[in-house]
Amino acid sequence: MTAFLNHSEVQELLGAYAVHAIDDDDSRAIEAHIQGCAECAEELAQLLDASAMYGMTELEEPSGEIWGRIQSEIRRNVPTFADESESAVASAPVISLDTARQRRAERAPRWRIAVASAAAAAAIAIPATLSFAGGSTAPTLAAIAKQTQGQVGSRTLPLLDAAGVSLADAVISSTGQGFIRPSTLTALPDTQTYQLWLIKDGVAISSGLLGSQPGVSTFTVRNDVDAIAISVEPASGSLAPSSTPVAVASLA
Amino acid sequence: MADTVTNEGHMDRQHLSASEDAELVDEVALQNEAALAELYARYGAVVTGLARRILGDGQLAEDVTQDVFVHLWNHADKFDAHRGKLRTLLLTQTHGKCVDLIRSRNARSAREAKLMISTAPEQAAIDAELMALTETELIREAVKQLPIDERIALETAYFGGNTYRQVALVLGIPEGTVKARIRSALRRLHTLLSDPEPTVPSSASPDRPAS
Repeated sequence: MTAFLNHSEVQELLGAYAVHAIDDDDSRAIEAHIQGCAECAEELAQLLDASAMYGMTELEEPSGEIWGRIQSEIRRNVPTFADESESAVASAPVISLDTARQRRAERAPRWRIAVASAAAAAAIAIPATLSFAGGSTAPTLAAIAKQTQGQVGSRTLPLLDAAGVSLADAVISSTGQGFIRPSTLTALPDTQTYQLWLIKDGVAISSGLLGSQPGVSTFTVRNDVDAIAISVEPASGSLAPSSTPVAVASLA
Repeated sequence: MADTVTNEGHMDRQHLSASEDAELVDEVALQNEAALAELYARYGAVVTGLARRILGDGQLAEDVTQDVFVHLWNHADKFDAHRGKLRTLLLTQTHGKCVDLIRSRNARSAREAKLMISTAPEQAAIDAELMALTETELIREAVKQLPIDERIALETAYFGGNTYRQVALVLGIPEGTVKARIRSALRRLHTLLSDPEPTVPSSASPDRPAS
């Protein structure tokens, strides 16, 4: 059962959504609505701020070993530097920002490379609306998609137009984490958007709006889905496709 | 000591106020470990405290803390200060992880949703530099001003890790009422806490003559 929620239904649920008090189906419907509704997005931002403050009344200092565990975890994800001999960071959780800046200046060019590979090595689950992951994510998403492509069990499928030309491809991990990578999707006017659909038994289920000039986007696909498709829709998106898909990939 | 104020003094710790979280995240995106350490010093206790309150298990709470900060390290480049505050992101993620843990635990044990009404436990003294205690006090005061019905609904959902449907079952009230109370409670908190003037001035003169 695919939930669709109209504006006032979403509004009623925003508070519950902000405190993770709703079911997954409702979450997806709310996220789909919020992408196209500035009013709800604004209210949600306020409710999230409020819920975060509500959660800040309990303080408990983590034990001393936690910082060490975080350090070893994050260092596992980046290349080791031969000249990394300083141990101040390891022993002191807080160092001056000036020191930090100085270090960054020394190593910035190499770290930039490390950023990309660290992101690629990170867990591929991209949190949805709640994480603020937004429009500026394309380069990193591209890196993660590429990383996913190399993983065991992942698939890469072209999304073809009616003439059989590939307009985008989809990378899908073994766990169903998917990435849409547009290649030749032409930019649309602001009044329109590309919308992603999951097709099951001939029924199209919205998997979110890709925007008028799509970059790399994420989606989640269940293993019983037959195909994924992209259509052109009004900027606020559609409940069901209002036009013939411009590109389709069969998952069968 | 590494945390002493530098000669230049323009970035001493006094200046590392909450408004500079975004700047630190930029540093973290460049894989600056010291910047992450600073954010950990600011928010480690809040994140752990929230996780502990929801999960009731210190070890699990610390696992969540580790996850949250490692996630920040790996995804700092996706943080957009224009779209939200860092602390909102950290607390929201912490809450989400805890709720996931609670629900998977509940799915196994099928335990009934519990009422989570309780007074906050007395906290050990926290290094004042780690956390603006005054803000914590302000928040607690604001929570006390919520209508009791709204407070119970919010607390049962937020700290109990319950969906609004579970809250409705537990409290024996309609689902629509629960949704409305949670939303209303958060809106009130937002209003109370974003107001620059205290709602109940403690020392202001009530009959200030017109200027």
